[in-house]
Order: sequence, then C-alpha cells, then structure tokens
Amino acid sequence: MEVDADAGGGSLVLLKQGAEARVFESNFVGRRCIVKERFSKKYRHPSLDSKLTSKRSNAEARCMTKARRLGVATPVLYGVDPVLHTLTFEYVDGPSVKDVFLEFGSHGVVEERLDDIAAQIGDAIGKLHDGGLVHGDLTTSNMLIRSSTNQLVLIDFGLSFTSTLPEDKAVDLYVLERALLSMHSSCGNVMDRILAAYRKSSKQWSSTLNKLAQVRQRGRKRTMVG
Amino acid sequence: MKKMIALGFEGSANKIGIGVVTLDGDILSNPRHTYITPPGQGFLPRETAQHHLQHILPLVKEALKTAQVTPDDIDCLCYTKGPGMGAPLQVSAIVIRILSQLWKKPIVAVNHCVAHIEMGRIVTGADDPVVLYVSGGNTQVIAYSEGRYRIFGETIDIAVGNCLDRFARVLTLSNDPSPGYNIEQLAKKGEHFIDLPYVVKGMDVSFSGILSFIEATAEEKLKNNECTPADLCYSLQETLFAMLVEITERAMAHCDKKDVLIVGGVGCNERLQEMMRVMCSERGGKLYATDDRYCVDNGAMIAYTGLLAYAHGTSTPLEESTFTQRFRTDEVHAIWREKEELKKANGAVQAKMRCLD
Amino acid sequence: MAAQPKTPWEFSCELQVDFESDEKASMVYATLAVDKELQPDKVKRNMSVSDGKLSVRFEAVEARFLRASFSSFVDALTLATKTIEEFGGGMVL
Repeated sequence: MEVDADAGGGSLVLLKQGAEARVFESNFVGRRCIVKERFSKKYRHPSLDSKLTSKRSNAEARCMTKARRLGVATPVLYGVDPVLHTLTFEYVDGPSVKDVFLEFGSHGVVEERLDDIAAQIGDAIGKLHDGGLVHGDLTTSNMLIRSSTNQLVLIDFGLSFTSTLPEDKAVDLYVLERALLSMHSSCGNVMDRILAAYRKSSKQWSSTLNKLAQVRQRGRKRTMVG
Repeated sequence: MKKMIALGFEGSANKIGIGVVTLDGDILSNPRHTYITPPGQGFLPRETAQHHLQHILPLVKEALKTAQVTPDDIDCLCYTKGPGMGAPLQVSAIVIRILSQLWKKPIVAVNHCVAHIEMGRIVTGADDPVVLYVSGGNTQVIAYSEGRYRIFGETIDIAVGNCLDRFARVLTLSNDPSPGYNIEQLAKKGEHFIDLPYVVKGMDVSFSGILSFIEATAEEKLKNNECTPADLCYSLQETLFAMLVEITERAMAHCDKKDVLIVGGVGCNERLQEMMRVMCSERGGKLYATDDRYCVDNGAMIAYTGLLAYAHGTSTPLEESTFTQRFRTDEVHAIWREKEELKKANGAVQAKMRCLD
Repeated sequence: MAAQPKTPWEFSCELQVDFESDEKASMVYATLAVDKELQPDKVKRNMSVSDGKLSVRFEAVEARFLRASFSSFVDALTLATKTIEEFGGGMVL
C-alpha cells in the first residue's frame, strides 16, 4: 500500500488482517495511530462489494464519533479517506476483552476484574442503545481495555447503524450473548452480569430485554431439518 | 485385528440413507433414497415418514449386501437422534431398536450436524477447520473448542437452504434432484445483478427479509419483463453466499483458524465453494469441500460418527434411544476430538523431550 | 348445568397383536415403549405382553387426539413387525 502523506508520514506496520480490513500501526503528527484499510473482497460481486465497502467505511466513521458523543469510549478519529476507504484513528494501548477472558479461562477467573469489565460492557451498550445506535458486531474481539485506565473502549463500528427498534437492540445483545457462549463458556455467567449493568444504564431496558427473550426463543424453536 | 464396523441410519429430512463404514472411514456402502415432491411443493413430515417406511428395509438389505457384511460383522448400530422432523426420525429409531435386540448389538445415538462435520473431516482430511454447515434446515459457522463443536455464527431466522428451496417454489422449479441444484444451474445463465437486502449481524445472518423482498420483486419484475428468472437466481446466490463467506471469515479471524470446511446439502453448490476458495486463499488458508455423495444427508456419516463415539466408550441404552426435533450441535461432548487433541499435545511433548535428550 | 363426565378420558380403544412368541412381543414392546405420548394430558397409552400377545389400550380426552396417536402408533408397530419378519429369521445375503 502506498504511504499516505496525510496520515502523518509515519511508516505503516501491518498489525492484523481482520475479516474485511487490514489494520496498520503508524503515527499521526507525532501520535501513535491506527490506519484501518477496508479492502475489496474478490469473492463477491463487484457492485455488491463496492456498495458494502463504502457503506461500512462511512458507517464506521460516523458511528464511532456518535458513540463518543453518547459517552461511550471509542478511539478518537483523526482522518477519513473515502476514496481509499481508510480511517486513521487513535492507537489504544491494551488487550482485547477476548484475550482477558481467554486468560481467565486458562488461569482462573479474577472475579473483581470480570465484574468490572462486564459492568462496563453493559453500561456502554445501554448508552449506545438509548442514543439510538446499534453496534452490530458485539464480540469480545471488538472491545479493548485501555491499559492505563482499565477503561473499556469499543471498536469496529463497520456494521453499526442507527435504530430505535427494540428488535435491533435485542439482536445486538443476542449476538454478544452467543459470542460469549461459544468462546468464553469457562467464564460463567458473564452475560447475566452484563445485562444487570445494561438494565441500570438503559432507560428502555424493559422493552429490549422482552424482545431479547423472543429472539432467543426464535433461535431455539427453529426447526432444524436437513 | 478386525476392523470395527458400524451400520448407520439417517432419515431426519427427505432422504433415507443407510451406510456401512469402518473406523478408518472406509465407506463400504452408502445407499439412499430421496423423497421428491412435485414442483412448487415442500415435503411434509407425515408424507416423508411414509416414504421412509417404504424404503428403509430394502435399503438395509442393499447396504449389507453391497458392503458384503453380515450382522455378525457389525460392532454397533448408529442412528440420527436429531435434529430433524419427528415422524421421519422415528422410522430409523424403530428399526434400529428392533435390530439391536435381534442381533444383540449396541446402539449409538448421533447428532446429525456433528455427523456432517466428522464425515467432512475424514473425507477431506481437514484437521481443525472453521466449519460452515449449510443445508435446508441449518446455517451455522462452527469451530471446535474445549470438547465441543461450538456455534460461532448462525442464522437468526430461516436456513439458507430453506430460503433457496422456497424461492425455487416461487419459480416452480423442479425439486429433482433438489431445488438448490436447479437454482444453481439457472443462476449460471444470469446476467444482471439485482440489488437485494444484505443482512449480517456480527457472525450471524438473517435471510427472511431477503426472501420476502425477492418474492415480491420476482412477481413484479418478471411481469414487466425487467429481468429473467435466471437473473433472480444469480442475484440471490451472489447475495446469500457473500453473506455466508463473510461470517465464515469473521469467525476465522475471531478464532484464529486458517482453513474452512463446508458441509451440508448447500455445500455442494460450486459457486459457494468457489467464493469460499477465493476468500481462503486471500488469507493463506485452504478450502475443504465434498461433493454430493457426502455433503447431502447419508447413512455413512451417521455410521462413522457413531463409531467414533463407540470406539471411545459411548453407547445408548435401548430405553434412551429416543429422537428429538431440536438437538444443538454444542450439546454433544465430542470425546473423540478431546482424545485427538490430547494425542497431538502428547506428541508435541514427546518431540520436545526427545530434543532435550 | 350439564352433567360432568365421570372421567375426562372419554374416548378409548384397544388393540391386540398375536406374535405367537413372548420374545417377539417383548421386543416390539421394548421398541415402542421408548417413545412416550407427546401430549400425556390428552392421550394415555398402556401396553402389556402376555401369552405371546402385545395388548395396547389408548385413552384420550378427544376423538381427534385418539385418532392421531393410534394411527401413528400403528405405523410404528407395523414397521417394527416387518423388521422382525425380514431380519429375524437369520439373514440370507
């Protein structure tokens, strides 16, 4: 990839190839930063591909900023390149919640820390939802813990959208619940703790959690033939 | 030493199949019969069970004869416990209970989804892939972790195969050999890509919105000659499969796995395989896929998976040889995988110790 | 006020199959006993074996439940019996 002079002139070091973006470390006017480049997916139809790539790049920039306004910590956005589909934002120093939880899985759960993280997750999602924002990809890979402050930082807003429908919010929580079940079954009832915090944080918790019960039922009642 | 042999029964949907398999995965026989409904119609539980009733006993004879084994050679009798449709599932369960008493052989109950995965692994040699299981009733992204096949992503409403089947009914395509196959053939003639809803929620997908959208679009656009049925099939496949490849890739990134295995009836679709292959190669991984002999429901997959469990000490008492419409993939304790992982870990330790010597 | 029926299990029927063998009758009994009635509050099924015969009694609160249970039971019974006929006398390949 060409080095983008606007990104601060720093060199790019590939950190990770995610599902639809390459994530580089660089620097932006002297600050450590992340450059996230959405690349074209050769497997999908070109018109579908370009539609999804720009839609998600835009959604990410917009929703990341909106989430901050709602009081949820996200990386500070430094720049957007709509042509190359790259975003430049603050580098957050710290592990993902996935790594923290996997560590609990292999070395035993530190209850206090787990409680603190679960409470922060529930609180953050409650704020997003009350502000009409649905994250769309709530997994433990998309949550970081800032090392210096132990603060939860949400990332990866590419599938985010604005909605006030209880259904959309419930599915958001359902996706997280399933992600916890599949990857972190050894951490016990994290989801219950998250939902307890969500209840305190979201004024509309009752309609969302009612809907969540229905979404879960749908999952279980589905006949699985063939 | 004599090879262990299992007889397996599958009848959870519109196919009834009996397979004879050895523990190394040699398939000695695998006959099956499919209940094919007229165009525009799906299969209903009662009629499907009647179909299975008619074909099951001749199929057992055929399976034994082709494999050239007698009941004495068989170590265990395996059947699909679920998930699936109740009445068709019961047919295999009844026959297996009688045979178990007549032949004095143990029973092993098998989860249909896990059987697809194990069959795919033994046929392709995929070791520890992310599995995309796609069929008429299931859409799941699965990976092994800590003794179980865990579901990382799935449909939150209807299965991808169900979506395709129901659209085939709208176009009244033939159900022979399967509606999905006929959509695939027609899609090859499609030229214009029509924008359809694209609904991915993290590692989950939703298809019901697409189905109702394309049903409405089809009626209107076909009437006004704005597109052909082929264009619709093409656009539907491109959209559905892009969603499936996307959630599979997201699961790969999340679980740090490099390879993909596709199983289930929709897994025969060559366009889906092609798209998945492109994605895998971009990530430096490999796609493992099988053809319709193993992708589509069959008896051998049940026999093989049951035999794996049996060889590791699991069997099902007659009184517990029930069937169930709902049976989640992650409910099964995959004891044979645990032993495999243990062996791998021991191998690594021994290699290390040899180095230290 | 309408007269209450003595029991809600108003509808019943009985079925007896002579296998001329306790062994066969018990095999079928053990096979069919595994699957419980799906709505035990609506249909009850009692089975017993004696003299080489399998006896079954159904009781239901409504005729339609009785019909549904009975007919699917007969399908299962027929399949079990056919399986014994085909594979019980030693197998010839």
